[in-house]
Amino acid sequence: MPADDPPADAAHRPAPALSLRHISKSFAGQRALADVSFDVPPGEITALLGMNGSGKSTLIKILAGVYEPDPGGTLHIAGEPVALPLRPAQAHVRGLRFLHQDVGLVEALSIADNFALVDRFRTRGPLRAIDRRAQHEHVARVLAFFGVDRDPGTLISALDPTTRTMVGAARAFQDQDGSTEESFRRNVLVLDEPTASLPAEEVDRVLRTLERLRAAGGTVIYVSHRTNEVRRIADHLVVLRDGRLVADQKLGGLSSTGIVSLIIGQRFAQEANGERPPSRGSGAGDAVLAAEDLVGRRLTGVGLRLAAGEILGIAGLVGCGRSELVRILAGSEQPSDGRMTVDGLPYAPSSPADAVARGVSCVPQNRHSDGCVLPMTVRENLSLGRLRTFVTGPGLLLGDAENADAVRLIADYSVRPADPTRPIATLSGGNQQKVVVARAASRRGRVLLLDEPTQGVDALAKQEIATTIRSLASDGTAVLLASSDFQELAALCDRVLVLDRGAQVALVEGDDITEEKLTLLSTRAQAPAHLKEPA
Amino acid sequence: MTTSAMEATTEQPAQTPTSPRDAARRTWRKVAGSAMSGYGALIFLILIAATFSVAAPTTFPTWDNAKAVLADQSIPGILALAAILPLAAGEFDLSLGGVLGFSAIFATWASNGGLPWPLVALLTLLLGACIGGLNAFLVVKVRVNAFIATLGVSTLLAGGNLYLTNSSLLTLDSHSFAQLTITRVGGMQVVLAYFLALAVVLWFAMERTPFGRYLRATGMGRDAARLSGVRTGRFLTTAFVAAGALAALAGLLQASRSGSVPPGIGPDFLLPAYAAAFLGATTIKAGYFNVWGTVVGVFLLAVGSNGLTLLGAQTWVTNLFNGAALIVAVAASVLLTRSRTARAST
Repeated sequence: MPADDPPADAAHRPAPALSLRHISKSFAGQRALADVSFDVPPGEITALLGMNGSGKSTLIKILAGVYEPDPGGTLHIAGEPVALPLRPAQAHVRGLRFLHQDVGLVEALSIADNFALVDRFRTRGPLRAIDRRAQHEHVARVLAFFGVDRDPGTLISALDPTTRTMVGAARAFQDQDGSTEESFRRNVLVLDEPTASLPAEEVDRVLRTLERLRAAGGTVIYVSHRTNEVRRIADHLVVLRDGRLVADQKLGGLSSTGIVSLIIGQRFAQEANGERPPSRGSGAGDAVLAAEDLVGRRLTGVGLRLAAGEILGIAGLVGCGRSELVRILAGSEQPSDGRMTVDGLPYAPSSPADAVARGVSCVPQNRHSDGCVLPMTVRENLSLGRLRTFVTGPGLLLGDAENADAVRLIADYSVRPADPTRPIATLSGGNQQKVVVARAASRRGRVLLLDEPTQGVDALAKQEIATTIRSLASDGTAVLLASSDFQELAALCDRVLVLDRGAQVALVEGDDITEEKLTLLSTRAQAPAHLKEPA
Repeated sequence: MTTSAMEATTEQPAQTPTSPRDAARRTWRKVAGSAMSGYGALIFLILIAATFSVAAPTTFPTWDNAKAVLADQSIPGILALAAILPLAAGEFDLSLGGVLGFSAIFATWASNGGLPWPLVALLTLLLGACIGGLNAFLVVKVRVNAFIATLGVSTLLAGGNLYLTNSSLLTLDSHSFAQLTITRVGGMQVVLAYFLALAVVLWFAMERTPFGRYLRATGMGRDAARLSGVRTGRFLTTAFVAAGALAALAGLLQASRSGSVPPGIGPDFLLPAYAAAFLGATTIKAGYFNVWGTVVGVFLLAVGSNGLTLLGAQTWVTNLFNGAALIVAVAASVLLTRSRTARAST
């Protein structure tokens, strides 16, 4: 652990770029970060690692001034104390630069305009007309350093994903005085999974840029799930688990497996194993839902078989095609090639309604936009798509029947508060999700597809949803569970299909399903070929 | 310690039992508050009716004037009802005024050509439904922005009107067709009965059937509705087609009632219809486009301009009133929705 005092500056050693002490953050009683203290050495690349929900994003959002930390923590930037909570503008002035996962570029604008949006437009004359030339010169200078060989007038929409990431990084790092070389030494660039959705051969370009940045004296905090990338470029490791700091060390000669066990922790791996129910199906029974050679925007030939009573997991990193697979099976997106069957009969749904008619219902990933109709009540959300059940002769809706059904579902799925007439927007995320799961499950269909059903859901609701999934499967529903939470997959699934950039890379069965193994399988293949460990 | 003591003292008054008079006053305030948010437009309607009754005692509060307002507003009322169908599904249909005008001209032209009125009526309604179908095709299938698509269709219809009428006033020659609106029911013009019957049917469809619920879900959370198995495209299509048919009905009745149709008929009907629909969304079932709220909206606007006219106000005053009413209605509706979502998210 670092010393409790702010960095005592030995005259010959530069102060840490960032120095955090006793940073905590609670959300509604839940501890997201607990007493985290560490230093970020200047001029180095520090990898910030941890599972989903370990507190990485909370920490980054505190640095970006989005979240207010609990009182009691301190922050020093380049040796100088900074008042917490940080305001976003203040974080920027003090040299903190962020590149978020979605990069955040406006597609319809040019590179130069995107630069100006976060900085300013260079203008001239009394009318303050935009000085296009000065603007472009400035942008071209920064782009050159980041190895982007594009005209500043190029539209973002014309760029490939890797170049967009680089432009995003360059934009985050542009400095107002234009002397970028100098700004590198003063600034700290925080990248949140910059390579998550990039093809492996492109990742190298991003990594090389970060190495150049370091050579120029820049400080980088790098969030990634990919241990091989970390081993290649990081100097320093900071690992969070359950909101606590579990490692703050030089990388040394740590192996990928060593890094993964730091991230997961032995205790967790064992717990996940202990929770595993006895394996039910192995896909050997008659497939209720089967797919072959599915090709889509990301998918490059994925197949699966799902039997009654089985829980099949889909694992993979962001951008692996997990959600696309679910959307294709649920009928909300059409594959460009491939075959699907339900109960052995051809299945090619052109809409979710078609899928529902064939007994395939879905809990979509984004609860707010795709799961709930937020202005409607809990009851109206529960009956959405199933109103025909509550109708008499001439199309009259039976309010009493609908209400009774809602009351029953609310009790069965422990939705709190138990009031069918409440607007669903007033429920917590976990309870909203229970409503969405209850709706999908209440159709008594053959297949239930779930895409990240416990994302952003508190621990109790997560447990309750897991229990629901188990009991649906033991009632004979074929369940497909796509998740980036490998612990959840390990605890629930009979088999797990691992996807990587649209291709299936492994099918793990029974006791082989551990969080560690899934993490390794979905990250290992991501490194460029020449970086792969000799197994 | 000190802060908790202070909190206790400040909270004390609220917790102590209050006198019955205070309780009554609080209850009244609560009732008044919910009445203002739920029935504001209705209360406003009553207030301005009362004001005009005092200001113009010989002309405004008379049975004849009431009958005239009710009859005159029935056709714009039907158009306003047509407008709330696409609105509930989350889309604008700006072609409704154009459909009204085009079908009025078509109906007159067909009647003058000697077709019996039931056939004219049927063809006109079909025509309106087809135009609604064209809107739906553009919006649901081709995915043109509804605002643009229906504006385009509206402009096409305006061109058609000028062609069919040779840009001059078209007079109705068929007496049997005029009969459609001349009949009286209980001393009132029959158009009012058409309007109210339609309102009941539409109220039932929107509030008491799965159709209405799904239409609303399509407007409030289209992706969530679609992903849960609602065929949102089908409901949107139905909304456009039904709105087109209702607008055609309004046009048919307009042609029959007025006996002549100017070539530029139509667009003038659109704005009042939307004003009434948005006013309606602030009342009865506040925050939702709803039938009875829309009926209140129609008459609120009508009573306003009628009273002003009887007081001798010039046309521009009436325009001022209609414009201000529309702005106030939409602003109130937006504020209401925002305060509800703000309350919902806490």
